[in-house]
Amino acid sequence: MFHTLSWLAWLVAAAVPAFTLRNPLYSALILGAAWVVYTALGRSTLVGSSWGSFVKLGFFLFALTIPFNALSIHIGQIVLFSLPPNWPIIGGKITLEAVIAGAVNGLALFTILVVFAAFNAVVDHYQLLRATPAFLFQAGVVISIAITFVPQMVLSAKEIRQAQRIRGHRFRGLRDLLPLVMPLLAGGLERAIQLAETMEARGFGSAVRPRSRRETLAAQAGMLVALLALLIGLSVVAFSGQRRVWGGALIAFGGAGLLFLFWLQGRGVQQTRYRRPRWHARDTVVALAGGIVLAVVIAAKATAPATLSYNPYPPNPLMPPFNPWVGAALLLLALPALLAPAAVGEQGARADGN
Amino acid sequence: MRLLALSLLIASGWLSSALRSDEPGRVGLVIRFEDGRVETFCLEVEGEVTGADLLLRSGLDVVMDTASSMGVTICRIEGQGCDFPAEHCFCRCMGGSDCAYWNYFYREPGGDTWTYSNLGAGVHKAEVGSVEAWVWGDGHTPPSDDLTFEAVCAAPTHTPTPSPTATTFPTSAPTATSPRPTTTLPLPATTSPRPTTTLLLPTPNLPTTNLPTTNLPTTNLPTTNPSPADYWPFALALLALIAAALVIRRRT
Repeated sequence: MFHTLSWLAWLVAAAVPAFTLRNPLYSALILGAAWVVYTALGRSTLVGSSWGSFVKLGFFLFALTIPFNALSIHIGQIVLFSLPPNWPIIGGKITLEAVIAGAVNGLALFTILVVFAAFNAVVDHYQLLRATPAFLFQAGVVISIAITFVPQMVLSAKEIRQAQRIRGHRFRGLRDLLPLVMPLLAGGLERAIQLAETMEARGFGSAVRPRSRRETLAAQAGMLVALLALLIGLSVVAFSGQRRVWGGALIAFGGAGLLFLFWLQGRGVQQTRYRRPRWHARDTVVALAGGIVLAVVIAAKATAPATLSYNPYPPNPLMPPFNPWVGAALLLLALPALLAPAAVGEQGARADGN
Repeated sequence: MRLLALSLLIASGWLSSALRSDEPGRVGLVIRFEDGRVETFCLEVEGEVTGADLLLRSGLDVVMDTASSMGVTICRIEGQGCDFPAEHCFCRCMGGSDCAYWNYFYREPGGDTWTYSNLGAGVHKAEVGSVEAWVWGDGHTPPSDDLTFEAVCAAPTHTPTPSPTATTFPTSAPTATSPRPTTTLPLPATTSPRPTTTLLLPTPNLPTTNLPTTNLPTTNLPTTNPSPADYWPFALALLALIAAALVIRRRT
């Protein structure tokens, strides 16, 4: 399949426009590209089977943001109906522009969710764990285990619901959720403890060199100084225009200090890499495509920002703008699906060979 | 129990809205620019309106940020201010010693002083008989005290249509009783989206530009709807993606 780093490049290239462009047309294109990538590459994986629940969660969020926006913002020309004006937050005229803005925000949230769900479905989590930097490896393990537990949790939730239904339990209200949630939590906790015991039995975590108390104190003090320098530098740059140079110097010092401490802490973790994933030509293509998408979005933001931002409130027009260059660049996000037959074929051959 | 609480809430809302006077009336609007020039408007409203709405109804060229974290913020009025979204909305107040932005003051009906508004333009509602003011400054200088509602809005005459007035007060004039040219400009109901308000124009001998009454003020953002031809690339791209997904689904 594709290398983890090229998937990360794809994720950044898809997430940056999804986060920054609040335009329903671009969001729809990103959604379509993520769906194509998932259909081509993500359906066969274990995590990919929980795609349906991610999409349902996304729809629920989308439906929730529309009334939030429509009821709290009372600006616009096309009035749908009016509530008494002295109701605390929702009083006033309910306008079509507010509904549209709520829908656009909801669609942006949905797009972000789907992009991350698609990345989750297609990436190989063990490779992702191996790619995390050494000082973060414990956090990487925790996240990797949590991600692989989600489909198991979905499965066991179904089983628990069936078992309770056989016992005559009916779901009538929120109070009846308790017999479903308690076994789920208990089962999840038990599985986690089991996994921890097996990992410890296999010697997991013994590769970390034990550090003396002085070393840990020194590392903590260094981290504190570096973070303080970063915070003070950022505040100086944000609030005082004249002393920007000092602020920039503090930020650089804090950032460099943090990186140095991370490298120092990573040295204590010994990892042996005896099977490196190979970097193919298609990985270069995917990474380049991601770079092109980011470059086009940044260039469009610099040269023609009016075609990117969508603001339905007056005096702006009601229809969203569309920049065909950005649209064509977002199509490149579906490129991994085109290169998929080569990747899937190789994976199939490798599985047969084993 | 919950039903009782909900019905009590709705009843209190309807009751208080019936008690409070929601009848149409007039609200004054004062704009003071950086060079001391003051423009006043007297606008007909059909009830309480938000500060942002009032600004939009005055026909001034207003640029506002409706999606900021502070609610609706006014960035630029009639070219004075920050060119949002190219610049930050508070581009003249970004740190350092000087800070200038559009300050929001209001004067309650019958009140004798200006109050710096704690709520933003999107939340604060202007009552009938009050005066709203937007001053370019650092927030410490309200407009002059003699700009009361009676001074800004002429007393209602016996004519069936109220006569809207627009005046410019030069700062050197000590009194507010300078001769005011009045113009009666009822807005044609067919072209205005809100037929109950009448927009008013500054008279030609004032140094402000004449604004068209029917069009919305122009900003640096596109003011016309994109033509359907612009959407062809989008439709093609979306259809291509959906077709690709369905084909891959069928194949595997």
